[in-house]
Amino acid sequence: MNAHYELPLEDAGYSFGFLDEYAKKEVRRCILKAIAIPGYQTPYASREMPMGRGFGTGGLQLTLSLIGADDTLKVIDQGSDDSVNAVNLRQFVQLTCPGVAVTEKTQEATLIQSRHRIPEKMLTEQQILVLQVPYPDALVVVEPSEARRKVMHGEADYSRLLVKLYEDVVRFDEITISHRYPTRLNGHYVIDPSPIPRWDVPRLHQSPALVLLGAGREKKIYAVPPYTVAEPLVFDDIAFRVEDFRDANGQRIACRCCGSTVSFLDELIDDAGNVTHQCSDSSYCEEEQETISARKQA
Amino acid sequence: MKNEMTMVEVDIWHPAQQQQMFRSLLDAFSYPGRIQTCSQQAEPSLALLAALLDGQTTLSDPQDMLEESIWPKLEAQRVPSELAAFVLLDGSHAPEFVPSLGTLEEPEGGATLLLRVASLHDDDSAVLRMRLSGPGIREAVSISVDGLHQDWIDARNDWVSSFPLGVELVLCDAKNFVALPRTTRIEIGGAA
Repeated sequence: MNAHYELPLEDAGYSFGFLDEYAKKEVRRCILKAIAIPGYQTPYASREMPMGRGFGTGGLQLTLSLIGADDTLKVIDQGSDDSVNAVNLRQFVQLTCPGVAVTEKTQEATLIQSRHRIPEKMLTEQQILVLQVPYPDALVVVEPSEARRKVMHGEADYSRLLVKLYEDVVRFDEITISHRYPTRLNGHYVIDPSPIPRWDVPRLHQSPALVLLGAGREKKIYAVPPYTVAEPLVFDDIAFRVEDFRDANGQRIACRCCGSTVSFLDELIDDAGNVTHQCSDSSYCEEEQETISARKQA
Repeated sequence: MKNEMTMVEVDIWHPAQQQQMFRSLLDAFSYPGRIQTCSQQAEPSLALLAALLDGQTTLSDPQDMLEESIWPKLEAQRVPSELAAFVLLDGSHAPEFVPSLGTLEEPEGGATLLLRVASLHDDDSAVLRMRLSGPGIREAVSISVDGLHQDWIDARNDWVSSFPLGVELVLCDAKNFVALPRTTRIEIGGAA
């Protein structure tokens, strides 16, 4: 976003949160139904936003409908507070919601909008996580017609999705889905949990915090309510696995910055071809580094 | 008196107040069985309707609990109870209709029923005791209600029996409210 951009205030001006109250009310009513029917993709109008669909407009509309002047917002993109998408969205909220505080620290936030990651730190009941979703329907890989997919979802008929997973096992001895892993909520609806890595999927299960998912282009809102059963779709004899960060010797790879061996790592390859690893959650990594340097000084 | 009334109305029609009201309701839906206190001077049932409704939604008030002057402000379309997205009711009378339950493909069509009751308690002190479990509830909790006809819970349990179809209940007394989404399992008289 252009740093000098100002909202045109000379006409009627914009209301708090950019969206008009009718738009917010519609999103709010959809959020309530989405919580009441865990995993059901509730359709909503998805208003035009001053940014292209696919840049987090679904998450942004959720955030703007939820936020109040006493909220503290954190926006992350792939775990980072400083990437372009996160900075743009955060600036837009600051511009349109006067009084809202922003933070990079997970534990200080009351509202967290995220693209493709769940923060490493355990969320609490006082927090709401909003995830941006590009493709909301887990069934789209096996059924092109939305009308038929809606029937399949209603009947909790996921046999064709299981066949797809079975074919993976037959061909590759492993389920090859790396992110957007289909996850079943409360024993009924299967959701696409947005492109979070497998690492984050178990953290949807019995989460103390409400998780809301918004797809702006596909015009859907769905939710993982707190303390809800969320199970990745698997077979009885093939267990769900998260990413394996062990090196050739079976040693867990540590973050090159903070040395953490319990976080989700990004693989970085420099010009010389050397491979290093670093925490994907930048706020977690910085805090670990601060803890280490504080310990050294003590 | 008139001034006081105006003040109350100013409150619940203000967008910032409606946002706060919605966040309380969001907590109520996220954690069913947790009794929320309405931060406003108005009755929770009216403040919730003000926060949620606009011209796109439908409301039914079969027992004429709303003053006629409120309707234009709510903007909602007046329809029969069987079709309405929101229904405002007196919980002390037994149910006399079947609300919209949604369809298999579009379960969000299930109605939200706001039931006015005498009082809500987070212990076993009132007449109708309910034990709640399900999504949003870590360990089963008990609440009790005065002024709610038991047929409501029996009928509701019937309406939500084929998930994803069902209705959401919001029980409101003079100051507090609690949400019972369709996923919540309600056992009547369950000992704590």
